[in-house]
Amino acid sequence: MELIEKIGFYFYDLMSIVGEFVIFQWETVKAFFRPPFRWRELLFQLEFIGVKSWGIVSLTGLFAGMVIALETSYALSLFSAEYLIGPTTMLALFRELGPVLTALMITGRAGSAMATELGSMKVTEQIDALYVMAVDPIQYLVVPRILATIIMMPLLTFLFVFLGGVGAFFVSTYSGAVTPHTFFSQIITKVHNHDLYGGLLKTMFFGFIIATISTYTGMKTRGGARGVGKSSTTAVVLSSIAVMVVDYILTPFIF
Amino acid sequence: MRPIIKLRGVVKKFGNLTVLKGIDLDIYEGKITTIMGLSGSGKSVTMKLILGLLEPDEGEIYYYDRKISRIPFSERKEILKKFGVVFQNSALFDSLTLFENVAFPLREHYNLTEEEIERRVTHVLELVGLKGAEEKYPSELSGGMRKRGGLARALVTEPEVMLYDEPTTGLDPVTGRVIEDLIVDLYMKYGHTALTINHDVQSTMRMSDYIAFLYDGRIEFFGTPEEAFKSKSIYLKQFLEGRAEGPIKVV
Ligand SMILES: Nc1ncnc2c1ncn2[C@@H]1O[C@H](COP(=O)(O)OP(=O)(O)O)[C@@H](O)[C@H]1O
Ligand SMILES: [Mg+2]
Repeated sequence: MELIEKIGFYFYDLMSIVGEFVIFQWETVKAFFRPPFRWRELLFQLEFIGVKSWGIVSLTGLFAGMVIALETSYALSLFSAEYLIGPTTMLALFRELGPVLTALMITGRAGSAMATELGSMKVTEQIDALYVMAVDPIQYLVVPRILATIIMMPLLTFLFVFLGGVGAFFVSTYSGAVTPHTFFSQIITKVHNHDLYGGLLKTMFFGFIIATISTYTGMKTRGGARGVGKSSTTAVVLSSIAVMVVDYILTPFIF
Repeated sequence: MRPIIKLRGVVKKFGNLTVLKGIDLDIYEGKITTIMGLSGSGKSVTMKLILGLLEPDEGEIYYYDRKISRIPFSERKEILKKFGVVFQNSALFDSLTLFENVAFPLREHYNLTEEEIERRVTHVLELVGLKGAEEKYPSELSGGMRKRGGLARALVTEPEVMLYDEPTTGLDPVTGRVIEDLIVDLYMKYGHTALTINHDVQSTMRMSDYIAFLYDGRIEFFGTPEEAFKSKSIYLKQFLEGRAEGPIKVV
């Protein structure tokens, strides 16, 4: 009886948090379309999330492409199908690894920063200060971060996939598994535009998820410096899990 | 003498903790009213309810005769522009310089030229004694200076009501006294209404026209400082005398 009661309470708490989060997302989406538009904040966030992430995204993309090429060339050699390295690697990058790995990198770099920044603003009453100065914190702090993440995710993913392709090209041609010509011609016949567009569309959803979870966690921070640290961790963990789950749910609809 | 802010039957709960158990309170126009009480008695909560940072579970709050509890943010904005709020730890934006912090409410809500903004910001910074620190970031200011900065930012729009949450707490006695005098000076100069939260008895007695003593979720006493000393409330008596023994339960 007691156990059931506990589970009941736990479930109730969980549902009320989820409910509150969904309301937060809805409020945010409504605020997208309501003036005043915070162009300055948006530009600043675009720079922070996009420009300052391109280095790590390129680097991880390059190495991801290289290692996938290495692994697939081994697997394909088992059925003497090395000529398929190009499309196999590129399909994996376009459809899955590009979007997901970029999302995880952005979670670690930008999501945690959002939760930390908003969290410390919350505990030092800076968010309350905005509110009492008749400035909507959602509009001023949350919307620019979310829009910037949604805009930057496809661009960064494209960069990731492009460099992944470069890495794969060098690894597979250098080892002699395929000729450059085979590499490209196979990609052209087997990889289609919708593989790319689908992947990029997915990343926009990921961007929305990461940024709403991270800003929400930040805005809900309580309890001083420790609370801020906790929010940062929570944002990264929840965003990462959510990206994986949403990926699985979205993929059949998108492709 | 009419109240500018009224609380009627205000109840506020957090989970199963009832912080305010039905409060009636009048803040009179053009006066300094101070809320006193133990720490954790709900002083900040009361202020947050007035500002709409929290909503009451029961009861209503009025600005003159206009209901301001449970109204949408779009409506509340108009009311908030009449308030200037000084937070306990200043709450200056740490990404902005002092100048930009003080200019912030002007840039947000008023269509002023850059010269006009500069003139007004410089003027209030001078009033609070922060001339020359315009380009500093909050992290480069001392506690007392940050407090003055918060004051300047609240004051720059010349609000009808200034609200101070423990303006002198956390400062050394001398700086605390200087800030207290500053609050009174500005009140004299601008003629606004002031609501302050304070648990320092002497400073409250010096600066307040009215005192509201919050105890056990109720307004245990409301009146002038002279009336406070004559009050029969055993709780207020113990609080004013600052004794550890007595009827007050400290949790
Ligand atoms: N947002 C909140 N959530 C839960 N409890 C709160 C919240 N804000 C204040 N409280 C609780 O309400 C009580 C009164 O707090 P407060 O008004 O800050 O006290 P003080 O009189 O010292 O300013 C405290 O017990 C505090 O823990
Ligand atoms: Mg307080």
